[in-house]
Amino acid sequence: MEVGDCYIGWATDEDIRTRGASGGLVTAMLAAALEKGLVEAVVVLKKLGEFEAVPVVTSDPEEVKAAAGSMHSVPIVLSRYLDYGTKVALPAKPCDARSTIEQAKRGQVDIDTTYIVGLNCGGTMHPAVTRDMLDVMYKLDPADIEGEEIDKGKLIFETKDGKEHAIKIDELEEEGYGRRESCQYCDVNIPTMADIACGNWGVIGDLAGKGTFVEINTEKGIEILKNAIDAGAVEITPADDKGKAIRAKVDGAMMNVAAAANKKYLSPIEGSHLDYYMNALSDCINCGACKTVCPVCACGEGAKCTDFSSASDTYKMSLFHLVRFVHLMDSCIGCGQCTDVCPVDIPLTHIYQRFAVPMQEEFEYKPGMDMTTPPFFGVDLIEEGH
Amino acid sequence: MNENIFTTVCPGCSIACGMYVREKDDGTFDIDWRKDAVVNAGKLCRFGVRLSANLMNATSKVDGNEVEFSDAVTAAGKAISDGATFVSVGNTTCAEHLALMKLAGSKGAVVNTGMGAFSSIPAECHPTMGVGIPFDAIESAKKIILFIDPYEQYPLLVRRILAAKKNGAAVTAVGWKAVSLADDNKTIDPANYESELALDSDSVIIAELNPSTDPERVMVLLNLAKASGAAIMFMKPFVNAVGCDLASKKTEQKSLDQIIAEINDGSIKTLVCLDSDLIEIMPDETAVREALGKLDNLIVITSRTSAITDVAKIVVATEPLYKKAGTIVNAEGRALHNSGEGTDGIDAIGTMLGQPVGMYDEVHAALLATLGIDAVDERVIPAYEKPDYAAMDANPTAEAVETALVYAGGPFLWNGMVDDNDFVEMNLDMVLANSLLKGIPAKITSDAGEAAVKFKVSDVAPGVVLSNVKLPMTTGMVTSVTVSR
Amino acid sequence: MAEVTEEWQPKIVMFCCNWCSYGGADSAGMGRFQQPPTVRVIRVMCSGRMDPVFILNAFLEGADGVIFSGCHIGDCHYVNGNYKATVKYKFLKAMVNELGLEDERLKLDWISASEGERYAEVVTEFTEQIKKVGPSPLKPEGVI
Repeated sequence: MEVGDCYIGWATDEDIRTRGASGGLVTAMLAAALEKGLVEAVVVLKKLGEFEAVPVVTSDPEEVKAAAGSMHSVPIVLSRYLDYGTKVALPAKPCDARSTIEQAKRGQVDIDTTYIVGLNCGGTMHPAVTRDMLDVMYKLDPADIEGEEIDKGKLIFETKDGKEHAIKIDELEEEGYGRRESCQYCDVNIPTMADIACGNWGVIGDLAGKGTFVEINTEKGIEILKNAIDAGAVEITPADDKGKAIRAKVDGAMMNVAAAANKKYLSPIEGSHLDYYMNALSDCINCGACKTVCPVCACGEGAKCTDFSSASDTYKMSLFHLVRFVHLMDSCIGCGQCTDVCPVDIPLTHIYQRFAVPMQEEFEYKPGMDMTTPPFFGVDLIEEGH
Repeated sequence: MNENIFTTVCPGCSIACGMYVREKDDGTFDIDWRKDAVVNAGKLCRFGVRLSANLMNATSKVDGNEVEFSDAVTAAGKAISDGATFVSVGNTTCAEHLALMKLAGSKGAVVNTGMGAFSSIPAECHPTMGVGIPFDAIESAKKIILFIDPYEQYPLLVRRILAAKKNGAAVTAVGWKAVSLADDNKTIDPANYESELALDSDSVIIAELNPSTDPERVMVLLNLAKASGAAIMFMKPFVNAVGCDLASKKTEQKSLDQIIAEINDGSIKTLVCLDSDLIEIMPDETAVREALGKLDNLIVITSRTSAITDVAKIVVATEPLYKKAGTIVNAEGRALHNSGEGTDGIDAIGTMLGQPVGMYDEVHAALLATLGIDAVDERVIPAYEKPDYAAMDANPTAEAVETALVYAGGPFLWNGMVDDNDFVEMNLDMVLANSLLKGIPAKITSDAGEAAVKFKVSDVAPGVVLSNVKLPMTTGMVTSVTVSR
Repeated sequence: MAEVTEEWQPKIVMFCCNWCSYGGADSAGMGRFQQPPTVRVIRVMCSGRMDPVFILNAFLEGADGVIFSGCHIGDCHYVNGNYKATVKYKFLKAMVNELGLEDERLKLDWISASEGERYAEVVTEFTEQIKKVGPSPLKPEGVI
């Protein structure tokens, strides 16, 4: 087994295989990592409502197995949950994986003890928006929903009576529903930065729906997959070229959609930028939630943005936000958490991205993709042309 | 390494924002955003975000010495005599409040919720004063009149009002300070509310009702709502104030001022406070401390360490709100159920009453009956009847002072909490007139003392020094002061 | 934007490094080079010490323009502090532009200890530049 290899895998345990998504490979792999002592803790998603799951840290393999089939959750600030150096396995969407890597760069997470099990992601939906959408667009009762899936550009809800209800995602997003705005323009669908990238794209033929496509990205990826195979929890077979091509095609199509959304949402502001930003921030109540949830912020309690600003400031704009605008220019991954938690509905992710994207493009630096030092902290002494 | 997750509400104010509390093995906890919560879509204000820093669990004490929980309960049971006075403003679950009502009933007393306005306003108005309107209804209002500062007092209303504005609503704020989201900021004589505000049945009035609210002011607003057909909502500073009010016998209640007066004249000797810290709640802290010192028995049943736990004779420490089994009713009248299963508080009160088991089921059933529902569902607001009421003759007293230190009140739990709201606000004219300098605190002096306080230049009414926290020289909601450098 | 009168003098905050630019300011005074009285100099040990917070704070406190200045590239007392300043400047400049503050309000320049005349020139030029764009839109109410 080598870095770069692709396989199709599934859980050997009948129960996990049927309950977990795509053959339950990820669940089996995480449980095996705990059982064999490869890690001390696993972050699992605990389903707490029809449309909501929260990340929970556990050392109990049974709890990992019970969480099979859970949906995606929000990116977490891993360092808020665990002590530095804890051996942990973390199922991660691309944004989760990227934020974990950014934290590792800032000394908040030990990358050597963190096994990132990447999951393909085509976007996530806010639970409250999902409920509204079901009511307004689908005319369905949230309590009747059994499952959901995305197929051929349509978002399909299955109801308990076995019927499927499909609406085009474009149409939903046109109406302001569907995926989070930041997910719409996110162009990282396959977590190539994770130790191992898992997903159902590229699983074809007899295995469709019963197996998970796995790409090994690092030595740690080999370790965690081998551990599961040695434990007898997982079986794999090499992926064929056709599967790989299909996976790449799906990824490419999603990236095109993202590029279009990027143009739509992040087109230059018309009129005065200053008025736009002053107006957008005028309702800020200084709660600091955006900073608390920010998975790439590693400053903790005594941070420049908080220590140098106060609710008693009489400034025309909040210093807190201005500092964060600069601070996140090279690290914002556009995960959407700040917008989600803002109590006065400031579109913060959108704003941070406006500052960050041009700079990240200029430096050809995409945060969280690998352990490269961010440009803001790196001084290239060879570049003497300044 | 394992975590316990509790689905609960923020204890900060009567909005009762949904949240998760994640408790680690070592008992420390942190909050998480419950995005599926119908009240707030998971969003929290700065109080909620910092809850883990703001809440300190209580410890059981008798005569200042730490004791076992059961010993504190026994001591409290012995000390609560006939003639005791009971206070529960609504910082705990309906179950505990109802249990306390049972205990009080056995001693021939009622539980006072501290909202003095209820006892001086006709009972037919109480349903309108108690349960407000659904927050969704704010978003579809055509006209919104704010008698509160949503940014400082009830931050999670801001997004509702902004949504209403997007839907075309006109927002007028009537208060001490200009509210930036309002289209129009006014100071109006209460006598002219009707003529100047021109409300109709598509309008929503948002005001506050707290223990220090002048009943006459409430009457004026009720009259305004009646005359125009506008919906009215009284926000309350305590998370379960509405639930407690629904359960209580309001007409027999005393205001907190009355209770303090009766302690001072010696007619109250024993006071039982259920998660209610009078020192924090009432504006004149010094006077309250003095009065509490005169009691024979001050018994505090609480989940939180606060000023009153230091002076109480007996402290019965219960589990924090997020762990309690029970229901909270928020300002909309929405019943919200905790996922926790803790019954320390209920058991304590049950034991004092001689009914150590089965209390929870009994009081929970009583609550469901009061609300007229079979089960608690956060997505369905129980139906409340709001009878018509007659217009009242109201004359709110305007306190005429030259320079007024106004205590903005708001959610009282903020008091004594580590926060950065330790400043007063005044307008530029006052800053210039008193030669105040940036970076140098303003000296604020009243009859009760003086203090140097940071100040912020804001668009507040002339002659007003606005404070969101209680300052040492505060003697009431409005205190006459002088400002100097 | 407030009305610009002929008498209006901008307020400029200038951060000078201890080893070069602050010396430059000294030389300018010793050499009696004419310069407008618009600049408030703040000495920092190195231009690399410049934190974006300082500059943003200067604007929010009412500065109409901010210059930060250090040793010429290659001459840094701390080897590469001025390289660091360059990176920070690049980010700040992009941020200030996106924010909608005029490009002219922020400037990075290298002035050595012996360049008194150049110091005076930089200050004079920058003052003229700021006078053209007028008072900062971020100036708080009540600040002159």
